[in-house]
Parts: sequence; structure tokens; C-alpha cells
Amino acid sequence: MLPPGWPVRCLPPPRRIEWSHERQRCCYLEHLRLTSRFSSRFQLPVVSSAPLAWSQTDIDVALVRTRRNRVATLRTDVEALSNTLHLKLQEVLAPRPSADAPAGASSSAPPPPAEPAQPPAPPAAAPSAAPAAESPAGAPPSPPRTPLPVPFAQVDAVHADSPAAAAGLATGDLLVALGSVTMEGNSAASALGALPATLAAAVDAARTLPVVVLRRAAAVAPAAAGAAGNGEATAAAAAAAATPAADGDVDAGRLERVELVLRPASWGGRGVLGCHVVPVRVTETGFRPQVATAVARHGQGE
Amino acid sequence: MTPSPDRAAVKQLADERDALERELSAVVDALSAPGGGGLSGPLVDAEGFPRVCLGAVFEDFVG
Repeated sequence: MLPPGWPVRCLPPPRRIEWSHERQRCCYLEHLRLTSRFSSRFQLPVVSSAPLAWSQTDIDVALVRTRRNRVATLRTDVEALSNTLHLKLQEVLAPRPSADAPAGASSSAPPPPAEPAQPPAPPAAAPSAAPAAESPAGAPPSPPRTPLPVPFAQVDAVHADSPAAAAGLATGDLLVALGSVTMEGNSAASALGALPATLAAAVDAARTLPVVVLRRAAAVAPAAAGAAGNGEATAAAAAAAATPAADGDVDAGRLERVELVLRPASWGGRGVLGCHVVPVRVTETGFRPQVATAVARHGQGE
Repeated sequence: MTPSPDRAAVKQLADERDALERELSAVVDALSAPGGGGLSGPLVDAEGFPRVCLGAVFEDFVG
């Protein structure tokens, strides 16, 4: 066995020469005493019962562990900060609707007067937001200058042969008013909550509801053909510059106001509308549909 | 047209990230230096003792 006090780990690797344990110990201690590398750090007795090697580390384990932990923490922080910076840069560098709205509106000004003229019924029962936006719109050249009313829902899908399709609702339309349901004074959730009762009353009374929607101006022609939002991006070359950021955010600067008349009634499908709406959230640059909550609203027309 | 607060926020975020990266590179340099322990690798042996480079000492001495 090894003599007491001789650390096991200080055993030399196997050699040709047979070293006795005592010889090993003496040589090792002598070596340490004579080596300048260790002489300043260790006061070595000739005979020591303390395990030498346990304290003779060249590496400060605690310091290294602290530094490694710091490296891991810093890497995580840098990654998180980079992600935040990425998103923030996207917001800052995104095209501003207020800055380039005149250019986009002037280029797409000719189509709007042709399209939104169909609704035969004037918005008599429309909410107060509608006249506020309507009165300056009497001057044809500059309808989009007025502050747009706040939508509470976006049409996500329109079934063919449904009352919504008959009324002219299209995918991507932002619902500003449907009958008496508007965004005024309440949230999108409560507006959508009041929607079924309004629809049911209209069905019972068999009357029509005035609908005010915001529609992307460049999307008028493709929307009439039933194209979705991504289809219109490829449709018009002129709309390429006018399409908003590709993450689904609807640019408020390029919306036009369209008034429709909807007659909710039972049809072949679910509900009395035949369209699927999702609540929208107002962002700094426009409106963004809250797709996450769309499932809860799926059967809203019933 | 009020880009200034956004740009200031972005600038601040970028500065924070630069500071973090500087500290990170400093710590990595300290770890990567000779005797610094390295960025990875075990510091203790299977028995839980600190790894010592005594083998080199013995090699020099014995050999």
C-alpha cells in the first residue's frame, strides 16, 4: 500500500524502472522544492502528511466555472437582445403609411371610385364613425386622408353562395360596422360578442344590415375574383410597392372605405352570414388580425 | 413622422448588445488563455478531484 499522505494521483505513469514508493515520494518532494515553478507557491515540508496534489491545481476550478457560467449567460443575453433588435429594426425601417400614403393613393386612385359605388342603401343606420369618414370623402381626390374608423374584425373567409358573398364581402375586408355593432367605446371582443345578437335580431326581422368595411385599395379587382391576400401581391406589379410588410399586417394607409348591404339569413352552411371573421388589433402602422383567437369565433354567426 | 424615439430605442439596444459582446469576448479570451481552463472540458476527474497537470511534472522529472 501507499504510505500515508501520499496522494494517489501523484503516482507516475508506469516506467521501466521500478520505483519504490519512498523513492517516488522523496524524488517528487525534492523536485517540487527545487523547481522554481512551484517554489514560490508552496512551502513544502520534507515530510508532509497533507495530500499535496489536492491543492496544487494550476486551474482555479471555481473561477473557471464562474467564467463559463458567465459565458453561457452572456450568449443567451446576446441572442435575446439580437432578436429584440431585429424586431425593433423591422418596425423602424418599415415603410411608414403616413409618409408614402399620397404616392400609393394617387397611383391607385382611379379604381376606387369605380368599385365602391354599388351599395344602393345609404348608410342611414351606420354608426357615427361612418359619417365622420364620409363627409370629407365627398371630395373625390382625397378620400384616404381622413382618419379611418377602427375595425373590430377582419373577414377571414367567405363561403360562396352565402349571404356574405351576396353582400359583396371579400376575404381581407376589415369590418368597421355591421348594423349597430361598431368598435366605438368597447373592445373588439365585446363587439364580436354583440354580433350574434344583432344578427339574430336581423334574421328574425328579415331586414338588412348596413355594413361598412375597409378594403385594401389595390386589392379591389383581385378581391372581386375571390383572391386571397397573398394572391394580390403577385397580381398587380403596381401593387408590389404598395403591399405592406409581409407578416400579415394590414397597412392603414392604403385602405378604402366600402359600404355594403348585408341580409343575414339561413343558407346552406353554418350560421347566417357564411363568412368567417377574426378580431383585429390596432397596431402602429395598421391593423393586424388576431389569428390566435380565431378558433373561439368560428361559429359566431350561429 | 416621429422616428426619433424608435431610433433611439434601437440605438440603445444595439449599444447594450455591443457591451454584452465585448464582455463575452473578454471572458472567452480569459478562458481560452493558457491555464485558463478552456471553454469546455472537465475540470475535475472521475473522483471529483481537480484535474492537475502533475503528469507533465512527472514526465519531465522521471523521463
